[in-house]
This record gives sequence, structure tokens and C-alpha cells, in this order.
Amino acid sequence: MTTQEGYLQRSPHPSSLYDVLDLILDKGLVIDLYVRVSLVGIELLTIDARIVVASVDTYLRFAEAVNRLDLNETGGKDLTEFVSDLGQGGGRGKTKGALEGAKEGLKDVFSGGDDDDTEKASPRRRSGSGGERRSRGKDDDE
Amino acid sequence: MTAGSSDGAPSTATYVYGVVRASEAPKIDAAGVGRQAPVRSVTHGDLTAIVSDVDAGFVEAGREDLERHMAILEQAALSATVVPLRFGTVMPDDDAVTEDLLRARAADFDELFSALDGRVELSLSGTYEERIFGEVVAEQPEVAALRERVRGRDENATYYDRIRLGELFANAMAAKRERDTEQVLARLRPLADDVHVSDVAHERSVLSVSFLVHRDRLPEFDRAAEEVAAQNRTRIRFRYAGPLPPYDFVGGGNAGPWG
Repeated sequence: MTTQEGYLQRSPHPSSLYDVLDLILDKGLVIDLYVRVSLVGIELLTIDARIVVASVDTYLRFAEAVNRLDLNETGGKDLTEFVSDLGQGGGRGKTKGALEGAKEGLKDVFSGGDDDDTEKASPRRRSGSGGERRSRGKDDDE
Repeated sequence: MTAGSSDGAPSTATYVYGVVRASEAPKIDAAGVGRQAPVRSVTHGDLTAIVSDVDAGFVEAGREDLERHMAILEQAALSATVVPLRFGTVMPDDDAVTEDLLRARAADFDELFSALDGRVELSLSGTYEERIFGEVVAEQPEVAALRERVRGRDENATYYDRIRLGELFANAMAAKRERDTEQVLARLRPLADDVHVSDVAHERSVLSVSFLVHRDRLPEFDRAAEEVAAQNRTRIRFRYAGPLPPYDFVGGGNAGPWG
């Protein structure tokens, strides 16, 4: 925000929940026997976002992403566009379902850990509404 | 250890955020985690722990608590060298803080402070822009060829080709990530006293690095980080946070001076 040249997205502190978790959770000095409080009610993005790269599933999603690239344009074609294009072309219900699935997958893979991709303009947001909230406590019994 | 807590309430425990040198102990005007008691300090010798009261039964924290923990440490780091403690550290009472933390570990803290004095953490992470996919295809003839072969063809017929395409792509991304990370580190590492490279969390992530930097070098470091971001402006979006308490440089995990 306050950068001189604008190429560096600067903030005094981590600006997304993902960054907060990534930066703070499991960091800091551990005093034996005294770490007791566990974090609950927060999607543990740091863990969930770690996708295993070396899997057939991931490769197929990558292939999907590469295929949808329109190399004549500067950027890739928007995924939603791609999905609806294909949906119009071959309209079998089953295919559509698979494509929807792929879309979800791609969103997972390529939307980035940073959640401000599409919200750069808005100031820092608080999650509240962000996705499902699972309570997954961490056992800090190191 | 069995002594009663300072305010006499048996249901109260002491949450510890971090430790500073007593001579630098900052005045922190904030509400703490849990019951949001005011942040205060516990001093022994030349060490001060930044603490607040929590319910003795405070065992589950939420997002607000995490943010408070972070904000309090950041406020302390504005003027002092801080050794951040792991989120969620609760001790039975102030006496335990004095005895088990400040007194028992005084020598270890000394060592830590001499490594950290005057230094802060800067966190830099980068994410590839979407166009990176085109870059990979352009650079990798085999990827481009496979792409042509599977495009518009039946999914089942191209199953193995698509796997191969994805694999090649993944490998190309990994190599690209490595090169880009090296390039960034080559520029910034010389300005830092220590560097901590985290595993990247995401396939489109380039890097996630923490630097331990002396305050005197912050302007220079900022300029270098700007430079790196400018060089990669069309390909990588960088996020830069700090100055922060040196979360990554106090031995985290089970390691550290007393691990």
C-alpha cells in the first residue's frame, strides 16, 4: 500500500489470515510443558493449502490449466469462460459434472494461498464469512 | 511453582507473549488474549516478560486471540528486541513466569538477545501471476507439443498424455521456482543476518522467506526488496510484511538454545 514504486505489496503486518497463520503458528520459542492453548474454529489454511504436487490428480489439473491457456492472449483465458464454453459444446450431464469438478479443483490449485487475488482493491478484510469453519484443535504437546 | 498467583484469584493464569530486555520494556496499551485483560509485564533481573491474565481454563483460542497475540508482539517490537513465545503459552501464575522462564532461562535469553539485538524480521512471499503458465509453455517445447496433442481431444484417449503434460508442467514450475528463489536470495541474503526459507504452501507460490535484518539496514533492505519486485513485476506478485518480531529466529519447534 505504501510502497514508493508500487511493485511490492507492503504492509506492516501479515495481511491475510493465511499469512498470519503461516507466519505465527508453530513459530516462536517453546517453553517446555507450557504450551497449552490450542487454536480452534479456524480453518487451518497452512495445512489445507499444502497440496501434494506429485499426484496424478494434480498433474491432471495442471494439464487442464495448460490446456485452457490461450497463448495468443497475454494472459490465460478466464476459467469460468472456459468451463462455460465447453459446457455449451458438449452438453452431456456427466461431462458437465466432471468439468465442474475440474473447475473446483483448479480453483483450489490456482487461486493461491493469498486470498486477496480478487480483492486487492478492498482494504484488509476479516474472514468471518470465509468458507466452512471446522474446529480442528492442535495438540501442542511437543 | 505452587505459589498462588499475584492477584490471588485461583482461576487466573498468566499468558506469556514474549520476553524483552527490562531496559527496553515497552509500555503496551492493549487488551490481551482470552478474557482481554490489560497487557502488563513481569520483570526479573534484566528480563521482562510481556503477559496478561487469562482464565486458568483458557485452553481454546480463536482467530481474535491469534491476532491479539500478534498485535501485542508487533507493538513491543516497535521499540524493543522481542523474543516471541509460541502462541498459546500459558503459565500457572506470575511466579512461574519469574522462576521457570526468566530466572531459569536467563542465560539462554542472554544468548538469544545478543543474536537478535536491534534486529527485526521481514517476511517476503511471492506468488506467480497467471501468465507464468504461458511462460512455461513457451519455454518447454515438450509441454507445448503435448498440449497441442491433447487439446480438444477425448479425455479418455488422452489420459496418459495429460498426466505426462501435467507432470512436465509441474517439474518446469519447480525448476522455475528454484531459479526465482535463488535470484531473490542472491540479492537480499547479503543484507540479512539470517534467512529462513519456508516450504512454499502452494503450487503457484514462488517463495516464502523470512529475513533477520538489523534496523539500521532496513532502508537498504527495503530498496533491495523493491528492486527485486520491480524486476519481476510482470511475473511475480510479492508481499512484504514487517518489521515483525523475529518469529523465525528464536529456534521455534523443539530446537533452539534449550531444545
